[in-house]
Amino acid sequence: MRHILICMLLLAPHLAQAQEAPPPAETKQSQDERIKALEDRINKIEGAPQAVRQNTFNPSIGMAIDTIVRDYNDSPNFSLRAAELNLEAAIDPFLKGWAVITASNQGINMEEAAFQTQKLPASLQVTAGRFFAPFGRFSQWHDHELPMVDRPTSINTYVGGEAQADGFMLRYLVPTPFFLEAMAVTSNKLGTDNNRVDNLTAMPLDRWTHLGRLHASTELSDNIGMDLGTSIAWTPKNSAVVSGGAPYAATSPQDSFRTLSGVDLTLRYQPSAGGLYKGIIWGTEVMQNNERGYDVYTAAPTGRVHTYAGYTNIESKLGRQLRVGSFVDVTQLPSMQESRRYVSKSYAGYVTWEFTEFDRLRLEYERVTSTYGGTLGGLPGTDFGANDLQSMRPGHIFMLQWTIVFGYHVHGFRGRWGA
Amino acid sequence: MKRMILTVLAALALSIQADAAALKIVATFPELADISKEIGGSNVSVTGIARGTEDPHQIVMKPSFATKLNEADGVVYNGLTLEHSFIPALLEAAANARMVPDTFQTCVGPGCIDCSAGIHILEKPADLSRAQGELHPAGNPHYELNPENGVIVAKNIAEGFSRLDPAHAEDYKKNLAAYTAKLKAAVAELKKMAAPLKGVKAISHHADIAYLAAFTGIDFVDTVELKPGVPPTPPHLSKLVDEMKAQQVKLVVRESQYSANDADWLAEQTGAKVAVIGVMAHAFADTPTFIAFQEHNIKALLAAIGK
Repeated sequence: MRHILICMLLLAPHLAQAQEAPPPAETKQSQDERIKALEDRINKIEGAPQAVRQNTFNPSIGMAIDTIVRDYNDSPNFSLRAAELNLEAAIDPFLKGWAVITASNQGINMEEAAFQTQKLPASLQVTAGRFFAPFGRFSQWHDHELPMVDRPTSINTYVGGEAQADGFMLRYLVPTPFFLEAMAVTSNKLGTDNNRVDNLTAMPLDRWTHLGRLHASTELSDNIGMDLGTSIAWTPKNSAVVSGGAPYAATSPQDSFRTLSGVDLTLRYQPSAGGLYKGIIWGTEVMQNNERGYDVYTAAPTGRVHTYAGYTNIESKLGRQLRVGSFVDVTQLPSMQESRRYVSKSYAGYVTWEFTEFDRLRLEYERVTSTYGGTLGGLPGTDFGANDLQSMRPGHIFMLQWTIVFGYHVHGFRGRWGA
Repeated sequence: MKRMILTVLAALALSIQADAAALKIVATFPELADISKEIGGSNVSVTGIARGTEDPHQIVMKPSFATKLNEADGVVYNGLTLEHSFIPALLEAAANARMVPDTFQTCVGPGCIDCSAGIHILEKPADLSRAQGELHPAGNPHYELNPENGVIVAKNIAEGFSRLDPAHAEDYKKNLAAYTAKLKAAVAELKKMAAPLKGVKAISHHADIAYLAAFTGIDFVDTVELKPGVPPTPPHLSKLVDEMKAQQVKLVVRESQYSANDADWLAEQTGAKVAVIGVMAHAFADTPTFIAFQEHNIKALLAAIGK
């Protein structure tokens, strides 16, 4: 009896519904429209991204680990050059931000921490914070991204390694039929390892570093492209930083005046069949440093010294995994009266094998010759210390580099077009 | 002389005006450029990026692409992160407020035309780990290997053009109807042609083949690559030979951008035949359009199985 009652109760709504008047007959056209609308909805649902999670708004995170075994004149050493943590995310509809924090044998360093506009009119972009300034070909590349193990000595010596800058950058994509970008940077200093200036000292604006760069690119044919760039940086010294010898007094604008300028050229042969897997890239860069020298013994300012440095680098991609390359670097040591006596030359060849896009092994041999025969304690009367002179030591260097990237990494090995 | 100068100036002004009237579109892949031209007609000027012979995951970035994107009203792209290696960086360099790079959606803004909207996505990964190779988080992005998806792509492009250029929306609607009819007829013909492929066992070089499998019924049992984007190792190739022999696999599908060495070696070891297919239009000289590249692929597969 109870079962019958339950069944009646369950059926009641359906019976009531059955007694209502039937709906008006649907036309075929409206049926088709309804089916189509449903199909569209289903397609959109099936094509929707996966469900969001609580950490959806966290920045994208990646890590690059760069290890090197370096044998210098039969003295091998293993170094963790960098464990680089990379964070990046959109801040709001108008800005994106990123930070690159590096831990290494040298300690922990905030390499980059900056934000950049996304929606400025007139093809303008503003970047602010700590970023890599655009001086030359490799200035905006982190060490582990380079096509060779070490940054060429010329860049290390003149720019100061990675072109780190604390300040502002304005970029303008010039509306020309070919690619032309103009960039201007105002910052405390240029170069991570540039000892002439530090980031902590307040300075009048005319003692800041001001940098400008023009970079043009054109295609000579479907397979051949050419880039031409020119950079100039007004980057004065702001304090009496010195390693050894008597300290000098770089106090007057005339004494602190330093201009770094350079031109760079890149030629790329990238055949249509092969894409990124085949091709040849040749690039070269020449820099001039113009600054006042100091007498080694009296610390009195002497005449202005113009020195030059540069490198040429060629790399051939032989397949999906294999690349070979070589470079030659010639560097005159700047910032000293006798600088022309000290010239370092490097000749290197390297082979790169990429197991995958995120796992790379590189073997490099480098021969360094130098007319500098002093000790490594620094050069009296200059801004150079032991670290600056490491890459100028003569000798035979064998290097085995193993680099991996995991997680999200915005500047992966192939993520940039610069070289 | 004065009249001649005036005539030249007038012609120049007219040409500038005509150019200004056209919607400027950049398409990432050649087949998207082809469909964009079909839908846009004379109202749209289309520039392509990839050359068709490249690996779609590793398109060479030329600085000139940034200039084109800077001038463009919109960008037509595959989506599902297939263009992750080049489009975000190009959009950043292009500094075009209508198209802003985005980690998840590739592109954000009124100029972004994502062709994957509404596609039935296959192989959505359950486990996102690089141990599984170079996975696309949103699923397999190579949906253009199923010719039926061309209809959805065309619809997305028409909707995008109408949004950017409402004055010519009717034109885009008409062009869409005409192209859809042409495409559906071609797809029906391809479906008939592909009938002998149903149930054929095969391996492919890269795991981009799910949509082609869905259209043809080919049973893909493995890939030459160890994992997506990870080149094969000798033990993996050796294992493939055993697997192909055990499962009677007689077809190796090589996407044209990959080296022939591994596929040819496997064919030699197992007696299988190699079919070389394109994953983009312009992969071959005779495949300038979306429809032509689909026809080429089906014919190449049929030829390899002797049909």
